[in-house]
Amino acid sequence: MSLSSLDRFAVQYPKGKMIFCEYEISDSFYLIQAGRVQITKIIGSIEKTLDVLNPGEIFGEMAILEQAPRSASAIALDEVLLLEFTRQNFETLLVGNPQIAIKLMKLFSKRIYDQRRRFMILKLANVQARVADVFLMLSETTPVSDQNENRRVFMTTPADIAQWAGISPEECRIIINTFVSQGRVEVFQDKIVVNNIHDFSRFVSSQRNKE
Amino acid sequence: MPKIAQYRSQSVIYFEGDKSEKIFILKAGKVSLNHTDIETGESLRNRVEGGEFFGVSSALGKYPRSEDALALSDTTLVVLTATEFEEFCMNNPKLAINMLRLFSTQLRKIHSSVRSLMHDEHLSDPESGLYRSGEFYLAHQSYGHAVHALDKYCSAYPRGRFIKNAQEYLNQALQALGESPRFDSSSIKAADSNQRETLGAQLKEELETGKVLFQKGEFKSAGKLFKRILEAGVEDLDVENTAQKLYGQCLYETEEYQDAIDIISRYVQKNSTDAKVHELLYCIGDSYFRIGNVERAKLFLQRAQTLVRDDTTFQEKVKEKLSTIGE
Repeated sequence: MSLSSLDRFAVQYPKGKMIFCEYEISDSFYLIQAGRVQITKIIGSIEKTLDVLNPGEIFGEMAILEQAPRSASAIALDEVLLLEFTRQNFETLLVGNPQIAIKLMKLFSKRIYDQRRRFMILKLANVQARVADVFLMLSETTPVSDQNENRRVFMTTPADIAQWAGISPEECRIIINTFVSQGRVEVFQDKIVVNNIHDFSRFVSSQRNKE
Repeated sequence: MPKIAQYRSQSVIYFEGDKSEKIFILKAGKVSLNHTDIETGESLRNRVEGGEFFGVSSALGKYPRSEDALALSDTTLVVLTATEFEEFCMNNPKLAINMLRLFSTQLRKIHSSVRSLMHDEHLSDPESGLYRSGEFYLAHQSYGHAVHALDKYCSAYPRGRFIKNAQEYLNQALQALGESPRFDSSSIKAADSNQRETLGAQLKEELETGKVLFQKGEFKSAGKLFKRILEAGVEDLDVENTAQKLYGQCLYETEEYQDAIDIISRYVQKNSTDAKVHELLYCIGDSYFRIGNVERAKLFLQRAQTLVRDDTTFQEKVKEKLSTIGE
């Protein structure tokens, strides 16, 4: 692939420099040419790393759809070389570089699926079922070696689950503790174990039918 | 190599939930894509046009199919793998762009649905979010990031609620980096701190007046006061929260349901531990009912119901409302 015609879109960031900040409104999206980019978010009193992106990856792509505040910050983890595009110039870019269109298509398909799944979770009125459904979602996206195995281990925390379920961290902790006392879940420092994922699956679908 | 596949009338091409990396083009015959609208629960059928692709999004994203695909008559399809589809796009950028446009529309739609269920703080108050980010980075001595956030704040919100603090913090961060301050800090302080204190005290007083009016049931005039407090950009968070909560309730009482939903949702999102959160959810639910959004109304009323188990009067009230809706 030749991206040499795209030199005029190139921008460089020294190591440690912020590319954009969470909540900032801007309409650019980026393709990484060299170096790594860290995606972070301030949650409570800590700055959490959500992802580390490598050359060839795209970020800030929601700006193509609408001019909305950034949902996370992007920071140069190395000295970084980026191509910076806006909604106005990206169609010209795609005509000459269909591989970028394909990348975006893949990103968007993933997002569409994630958001649909998220909607299904949020639509449950019963908050316990929501929490259980978050575990189901996580289990759907993590490949398992043995489908007959009931036990699932998730590298996650009650605070993360709360975000997905659209409830407060306190409320989420209470619900998870109820599951713990019922022997359905075990909580560790860095992971949560669901003892029988199929039990959760039955619980969620019966709730969904009831509602 | 792409293959040709034949399907008999009424046969299934794939089911919702199937995982597969196959992408199809309708060559001849009739195909219907059936799915349930996740928002309304309605069954939707979409006919595929001749020459049109389907199954693209799930195959590319490696996710389960989100619809059933049925052959309505004897049908001939071209079947591609995800990799073959990518090669096809490389030679047909126009197709790739059209497909991308379609995905964008879908994504935008589902985004706004999710948003309607969940109040997103990034959209509701980006101004305060950006300011708080700057504050956070300054406190954690990430001066470069603090400069970025505060600088963006100062240029995006030159008359913003936190502008004076933002300018001052920006100066501090710049100084820590050994750069010269951008704003004259002595003038920021002198001109502002007096003015700020007077305004703060005045808004507090107005809040008290508003509360009295609210108690008396004079929701119109109370609402006006609360609205003004919120617009003035009060710095005291307690004052802001109280004003927001009461303003939402005033809007509900004066039957401005759409605004009531908006304001109360914002409040609830920030203050999910409020002891009266069930009452507020009730207001949101009832407001949805009044504007004819029965689905949403049920959702919020049921949530209110699950929050309080021991208050029988409230339980009765919710039950009654739900039965009016037809639940």
